[in-house]
Amino acid sequence: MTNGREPRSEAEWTALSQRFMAEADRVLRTGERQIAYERYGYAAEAAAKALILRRRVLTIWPRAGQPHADEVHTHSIQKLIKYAGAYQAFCLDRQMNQRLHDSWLVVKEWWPDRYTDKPPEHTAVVLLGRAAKYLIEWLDRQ
Amino acid sequence: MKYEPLSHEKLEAGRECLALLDEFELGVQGAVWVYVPSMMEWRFYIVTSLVDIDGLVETYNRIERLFSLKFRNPELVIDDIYLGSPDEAVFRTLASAFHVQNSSVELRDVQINNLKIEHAHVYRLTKAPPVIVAKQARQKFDGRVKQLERTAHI
Repeated sequence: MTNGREPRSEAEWTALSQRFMAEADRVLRTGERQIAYERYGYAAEAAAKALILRRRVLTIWPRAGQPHADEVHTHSIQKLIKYAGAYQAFCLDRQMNQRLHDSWLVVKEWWPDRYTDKPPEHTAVVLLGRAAKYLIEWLDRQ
Repeated sequence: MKYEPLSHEKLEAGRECLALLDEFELGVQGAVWVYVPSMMEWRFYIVTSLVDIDGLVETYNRIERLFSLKFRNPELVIDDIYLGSPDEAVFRTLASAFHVQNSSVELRDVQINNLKIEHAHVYRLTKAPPVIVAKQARQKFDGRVKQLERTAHI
């Protein structure tokens, strides 16, 4: 997910999420659908990681091999929301908010290497981008 | 996090889910548990051409409607279900190599062209039907769910 040093604080994860989102929007405009697809998902993943630190479930991001590293070094956004202790609120809000409900159905399907031999359709990437943005808004409010 | 095999309970829950969708005639071309290494988790995929015809969200909502009325297995809640299109590389490649119909086939370290599957349990993998057939199945499914809703409200 990160080429350089892995973020360690909430601010760094939030900044990374914003960077991925901006990059995804940019590469989608130039037709790089596969990269855009990956980046939109990474943006949501980074926002979920920021939430874990914001809620002080962890105070510093663990490096590989350190305690709790196994639980949070994952691309699974669902697992990260659960680990942040926000899953119950998330389920309730999804029942009340159709847009959040539908956005989640799209984002949860993401995994970075899902489309290995053929890029996803443009409309599918656009849909993921919109859904990821809405989910990130929700994550940022928690 | 190290790899953990799929539990017997989850395996059975997947089978039960497929049986329910068949009972209501959704038109399911694939039902597969796949271990996704980058997510470090098992995912249960329902593969249906309705994903291409109606879109992901509408297909989910359709299944969720039935689940809320009839599926009560804590081993598999709606959040644990994922949807795939028969045209998607992973399912298309698997369906071209194996034809599985109402069975349970375990795959381990399978490599087909560029596709590598570490672990999977396949209940069904078949090719997509013509669109007209998929639409007819959807119509039947909607009718049967509506009937179930009416019964539930009595």
